[in-house]
Amino acid sequence: MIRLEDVHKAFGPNRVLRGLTLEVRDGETLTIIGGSGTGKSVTLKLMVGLLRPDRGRVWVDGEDIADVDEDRLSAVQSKFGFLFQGAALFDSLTVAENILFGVRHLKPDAIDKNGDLAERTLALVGLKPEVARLKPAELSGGMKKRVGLARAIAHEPEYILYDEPTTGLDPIMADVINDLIVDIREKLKITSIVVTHDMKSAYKISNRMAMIHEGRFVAAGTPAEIQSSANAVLRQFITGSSQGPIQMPVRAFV
Amino acid sequence: MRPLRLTLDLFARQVIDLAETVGNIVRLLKKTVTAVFTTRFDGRNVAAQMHEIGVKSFPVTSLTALFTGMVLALQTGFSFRKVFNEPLYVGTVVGLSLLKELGPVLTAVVVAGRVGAAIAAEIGTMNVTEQVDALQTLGTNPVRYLVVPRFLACLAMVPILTIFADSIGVFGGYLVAHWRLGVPSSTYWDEINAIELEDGFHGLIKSVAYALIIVTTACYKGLLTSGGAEGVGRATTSAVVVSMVFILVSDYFLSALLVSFGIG
Repeated sequence: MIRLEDVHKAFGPNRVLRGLTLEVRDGETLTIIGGSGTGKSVTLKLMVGLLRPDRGRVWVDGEDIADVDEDRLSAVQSKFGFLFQGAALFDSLTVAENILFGVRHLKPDAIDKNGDLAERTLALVGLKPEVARLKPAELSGGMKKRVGLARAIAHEPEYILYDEPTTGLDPIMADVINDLIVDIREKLKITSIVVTHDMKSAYKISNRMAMIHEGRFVAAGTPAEIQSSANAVLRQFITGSSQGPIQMPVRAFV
Repeated sequence: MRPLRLTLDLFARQVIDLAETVGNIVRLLKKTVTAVFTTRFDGRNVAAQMHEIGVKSFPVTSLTALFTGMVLALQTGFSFRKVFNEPLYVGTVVGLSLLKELGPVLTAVVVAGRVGAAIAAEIGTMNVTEQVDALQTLGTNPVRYLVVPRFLACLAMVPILTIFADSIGVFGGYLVAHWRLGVPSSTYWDEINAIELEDGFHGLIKSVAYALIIVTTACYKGLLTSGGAEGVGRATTSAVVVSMVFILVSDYFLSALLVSFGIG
């Protein structure tokens, strides 16, 4: 289980998180929604220890990772898989090397036993074995996301974090990725935390959703509860209206 | 009074920024040195970096050294001819200048421009595309994976490039001294042979220090990069400028230190 308690995080004068508290239950898919720059990705990076909170606690399976040393943090990080927004594949390595990168460092025994681990993981995300020898530059956006997902699950993590998994993809490919997220949760029984502002995706993949606004969670619930919520901030966001309590600066050519 | 105060404020801020940069570079250097002794040696990666840093820099450092030796001989020969009516001590001046100063400094400046920029750009791009974060989530320490191989390669290759640059520069000096100034070959080479080993060590020790400066500064700037393509450009420029300034400033202090220890 992951729990964030009264977490604060600022970048210079910009106070992104201001007392955020959240619990992620084992086996669920929690989707964090919210506007751009509200701290969704920061929240994910705090969970995996890529960022440390200025204040507050981040518990992963009962261990507070806010102040642990690098070795201990590395051990905790091995429980996570992370699909980055742009997939973050290593340009100089082939797809197979990318997929096996984490396994080599985190679970080297798994490679000795399974010579075709990269191909089997590619199959899980719907890609053919031939893709294994390509370089990231030769892949389309959708394929990059799938390979990123394959790399994230190859070492069999307990938690998988998705940062904007459908951003930049066409609607059909976005839906394919949504199906994959659901499929992987069912097959591997992984706890998933997804950050997105794609509402269609959020409704499809989530067991539970939470909205972040002004550095705190303002609403949480099942997709059905979120859709029927009377919270004005949440309603404005899920209907995508420019009118409401969330004020965005508007620039126009005069 | 106000403009003076603003100028002083600006100056103070620059000094604080510089001190912060130096402090962070030293912290990264400490982490890197610790990692060198606690990380399994990645020979393939180090060899690839040695090729990138050393072999690919060889043509440009050699060309720089060749023409530096040539122009040094030319200027020394003509200047001394004016004073002594003869091109005296051309070999001595060319040899000492190259071995103690110009060989290590010019090689370091060229490597800082070529390699420092490439390292900062590569790591910086990895940083802004979240590949550095990805390394961490896949159980790999970025300092161990990205910095250590470049650090070891730079530490090995910059002194080797310096030795080649010294030799090529001395040969360039010989070409001009003999064919342009009419200095007998034996005179030139006798003067070169008379240079003491400590003078060579003086330059080599400095080249090791410059290698440390180049690689640590470039990696630090790369790891600090933010702000997309523009940020990568800024980091690259900054890595080169900061390295060059540190090389030239440290040159004086290193020279003074080495001379005080009787090395060169």
